[in-house]
Amino acid sequence: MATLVLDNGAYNAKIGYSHNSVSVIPNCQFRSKTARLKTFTANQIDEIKDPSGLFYILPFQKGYLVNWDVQRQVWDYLFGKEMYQVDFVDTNIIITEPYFNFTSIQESMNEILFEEYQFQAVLRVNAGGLSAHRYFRDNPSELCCIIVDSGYSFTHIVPYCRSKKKKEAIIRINVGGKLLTNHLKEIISYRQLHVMDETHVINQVKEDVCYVSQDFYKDMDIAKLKGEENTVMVDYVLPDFSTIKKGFCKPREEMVLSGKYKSGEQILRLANERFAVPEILFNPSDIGIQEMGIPEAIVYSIQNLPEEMQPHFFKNIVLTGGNTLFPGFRDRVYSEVRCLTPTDYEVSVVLPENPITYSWEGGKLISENDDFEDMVVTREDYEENGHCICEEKFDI
Amino acid sequence: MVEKKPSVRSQDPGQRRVLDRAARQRRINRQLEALENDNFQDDPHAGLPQLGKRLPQFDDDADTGKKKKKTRGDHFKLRFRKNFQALLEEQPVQAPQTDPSAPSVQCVASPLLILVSAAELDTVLFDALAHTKRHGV
Repeated sequence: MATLVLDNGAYNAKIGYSHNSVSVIPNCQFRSKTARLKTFTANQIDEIKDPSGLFYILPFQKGYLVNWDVQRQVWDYLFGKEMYQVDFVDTNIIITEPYFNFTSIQESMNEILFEEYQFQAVLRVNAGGLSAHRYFRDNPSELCCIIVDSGYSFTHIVPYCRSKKKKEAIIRINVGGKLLTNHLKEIISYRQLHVMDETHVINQVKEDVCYVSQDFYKDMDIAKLKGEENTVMVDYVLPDFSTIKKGFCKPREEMVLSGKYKSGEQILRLANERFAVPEILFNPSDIGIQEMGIPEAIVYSIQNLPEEMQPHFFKNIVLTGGNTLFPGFRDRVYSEVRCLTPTDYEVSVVLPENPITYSWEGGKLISENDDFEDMVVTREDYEENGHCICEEKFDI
Repeated sequence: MVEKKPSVRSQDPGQRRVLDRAARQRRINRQLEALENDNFQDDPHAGLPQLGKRLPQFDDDADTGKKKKKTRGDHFKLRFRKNFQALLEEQPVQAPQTDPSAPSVQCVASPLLILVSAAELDTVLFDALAHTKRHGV
């Protein structure tokens, strides 16, 4: 009996058998204006020769799975003969869902997994629950931890105590990687070059050059300087998909600081965009979203919990999700939480080695637990009892 | 002393509009909704003639469970393609017996900033109402 672990994210699916390793694969379909008539699914994006103006078709909207047509096409591909070749009758699946998932989506998920694909057994769980499990495995003496899951659609701050989430203290910040990329597209289009169609390219720019500032105003001042003194500024060479397949930053020695470049490359000059974009995670009000940033929300969440538990949460803050990969993210969260917390509390912020696959690793560990069989709902259970047994057993 | 570059913004009073609160709020809402877009451009396949039914290829699996999937496909198309707004509207109706103050997708959004000065308070309160309206809380 194999167990497939699928962290079903709005941007990437983290998938793999528990006895093997994880792959990070786009959870959407693509269309290209050059390759007409063909829709590319998931990692078929690698086959596209000219990914300029790439059109995305996502099954998720605002972080919730609304488009089952697309999701089923991606899953058919992932579970099929070109990828994981799942033998459904003999396979368990652990699959993640967002917090407070709508009942109708949960029921659709049950139907599709049990009735259409016919998995032997299913465990539906929040991604943060898997991360918490992973964390407690490395830190068995700790009773509490608070998971920050900052992904594509939004960011959730979720305290866990002995593997159960504290629902009353969960906070959602409506800022995720998607918003950051769209904002970056807008400001570049406004200031330099029309890139509104180039989500894929600008997303790569964001991942290559953006970082989290430790002192926003100081970096702003540096970014205003001219010439050599502006250490923040970089020139990013955009890919043209014929000679330059992937974008890159020009090395400092080759940068032409005043005047134009002689070569025919398309260059983006980025300065304050580099840190102003990720700053939105810390100050969503920068773009008019009246919500707290991540460090403030962490402190607010913990302070809404019983006082005797609070020190335990401050000591075990865990950062997961793609946005935590911005250089400087962890240090910035630490320094802001530290400032907002009484000095007699110990503060510790952990950034795992791979924050994107951390929850998947938790899923792998759960599948190897002795009581895994008690946690799942089998197809027989579901056929006898319907949705209510899933509602009882799964803590979504 | 560096000379100030002349501003590119229009100084012509005829072209300048003063927006009221509601207009300002509508602008902000539109901007924030634009940040939620998957794509700026239109579907490259839109407007292309529909393909006729594909002739069966030799390596297609014609009989393994495909029949079941075909009938299921229509069923799913009808039932399972709600958009986010529809889901949000039907949620409280579905579970009237649960405690209305229990945490749910509506009320878990991050609270407003707590630090405001007295002068800003008025604007923040207005924005709070708009925020709750916008996010369906």
